[in-house]
Amino acid sequence: MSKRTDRELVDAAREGDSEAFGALMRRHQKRIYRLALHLLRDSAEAEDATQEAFVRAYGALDRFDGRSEAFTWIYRIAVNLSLNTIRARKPARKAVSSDDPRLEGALVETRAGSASPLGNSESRELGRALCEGLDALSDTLRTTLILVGIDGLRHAQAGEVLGCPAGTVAWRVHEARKKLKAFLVERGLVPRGEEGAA
Amino acid sequence: MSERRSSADLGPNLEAVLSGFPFPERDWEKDATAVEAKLPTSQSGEAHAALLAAPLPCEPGEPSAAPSEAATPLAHSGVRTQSLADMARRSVENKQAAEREMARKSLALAAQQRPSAEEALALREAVNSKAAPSVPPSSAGAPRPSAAASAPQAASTASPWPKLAAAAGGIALAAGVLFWLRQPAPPVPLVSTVVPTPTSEAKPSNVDAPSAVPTAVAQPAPNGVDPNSLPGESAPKTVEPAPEKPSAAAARASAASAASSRPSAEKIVLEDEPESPPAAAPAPVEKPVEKALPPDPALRPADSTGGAVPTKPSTGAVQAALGAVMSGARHCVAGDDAPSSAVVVFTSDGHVQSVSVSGPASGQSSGACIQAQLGRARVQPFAAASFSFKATVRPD
Repeated sequence: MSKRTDRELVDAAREGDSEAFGALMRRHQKRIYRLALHLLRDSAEAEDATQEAFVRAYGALDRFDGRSEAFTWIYRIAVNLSLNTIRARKPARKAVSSDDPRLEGALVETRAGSASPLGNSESRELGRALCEGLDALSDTLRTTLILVGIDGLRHAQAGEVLGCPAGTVAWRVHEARKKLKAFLVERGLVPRGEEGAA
Repeated sequence: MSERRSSADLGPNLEAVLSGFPFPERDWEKDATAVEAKLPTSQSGEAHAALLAAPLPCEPGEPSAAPSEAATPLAHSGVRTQSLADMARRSVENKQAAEREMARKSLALAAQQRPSAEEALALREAVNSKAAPSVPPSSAGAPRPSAAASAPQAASTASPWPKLAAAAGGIALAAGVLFWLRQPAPPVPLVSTVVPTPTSEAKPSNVDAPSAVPTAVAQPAPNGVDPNSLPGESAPKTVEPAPEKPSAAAARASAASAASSRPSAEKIVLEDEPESPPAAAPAPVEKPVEKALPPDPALRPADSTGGAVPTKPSTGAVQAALGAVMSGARHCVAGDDAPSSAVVVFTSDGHVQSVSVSGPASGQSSGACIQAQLGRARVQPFAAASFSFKATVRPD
């Protein structure tokens, strides 16, 4: 049996096929969780946001108009939920602690010997600096950079998620990278004047 | 993933970490099962409308245009740029389009005024019927052909001259309209009273004709000034007193504009005044021009030979041309600490022949970016084979 597309799964789920929605969820839950984790910087909150996103998406399937891709539509719900959680927080989290779930992931992966471009300590140091640089960005730039830079969405797809044109996404990504680079240059992790085109 | 590359790339290592940012593995199946247990029994649209709304739409000050593939880094930055040259080019294109549209309408009007085939046929029949009594019948006993039968024959054998004349008239009318549209706007004489006070060295030796001139006419330049249409040294200074033709008017306008642009006092030709012969025209006085030049060579106009192509472009013109594209070049080196230098070589047609970059951007992608940006600069054509200019590209 050939693999069903997202659209076919959505159509089936609309007709009451909960297994189809389960398949759609299993297909995208990792990416949704990673997105929520980078936005929220808390694994428990990310788990809640991921589950809530799928539950809300299932409840609103009849409002999916099909103009966008199904996964960008679920992404949008997850981003909204994550941003709502961030805005509801009392104190803003400033520093990146050693038990940051994002760094935990980096440590696990380097231990497993997966494709990490650098060694353990250096990779962890770079990951920490990247996390701090990301946290220093505004929610708008950070969310856009996470979608494009980390999650690998194309500008048009990120635009569908965020509700803005692809040109705006490109501009935000450029601005975010510029600020991130300046942050890393200050830390001495990127040599001054280095161009990234390798 | 070319759209993820920009001048703000973080370097291969950090880019790899960013794009492959790991996250801890979880028991995904358990998570999925938990979600399935929470799924509502019916899709009742419980999701709040706010959750389906755009989370981070365009904010004020953010660009909304999608960049094209060939966009420059400046375009990626969201800063919209539009050079004056582009604006001027677009304006000329609009004007030409409007003229073409007017010509098209005129042609359509002329075609409507042209007699139709039926009208021409009726006209020919009327002419034939009038001429019929005078034409002797070919054979007395032969039956006369009916009008219906003779009409096609008449149409096929009748002289084509009326039709051709009508067509030629329409074409001539359209050509006239086109010709009129191609010409610059008719010169509106801006008559300014000249007080006949004798002015010094500006007065030529043979002052009879100029002193008798009570008024001066400042001819406006044509709407679109083509450098090639400007008169050179050999351009006649007077215009034949021929009847008013568009071409003569244009020549006069350009001659007048050239004359008015000279700082030396020359004869100002009245539009309706009979021209004096060329021999009577005063010789151009060069000294006042030299005296009027500013002492700073940078502020002087380009070396010229009296309206011909200058030997080399002026410093100001080159600076203006490079300034128009410099903002894009600066954006190429955004983030650099030190400025880079670029030597721009212009060819005699005003285009950029080469751009060599030195400094931090040399050999980098930003260097190619600078070359592309500065390569768009244009100056007026000049006589020398080439002209080089060194520019400094400072980071934003």
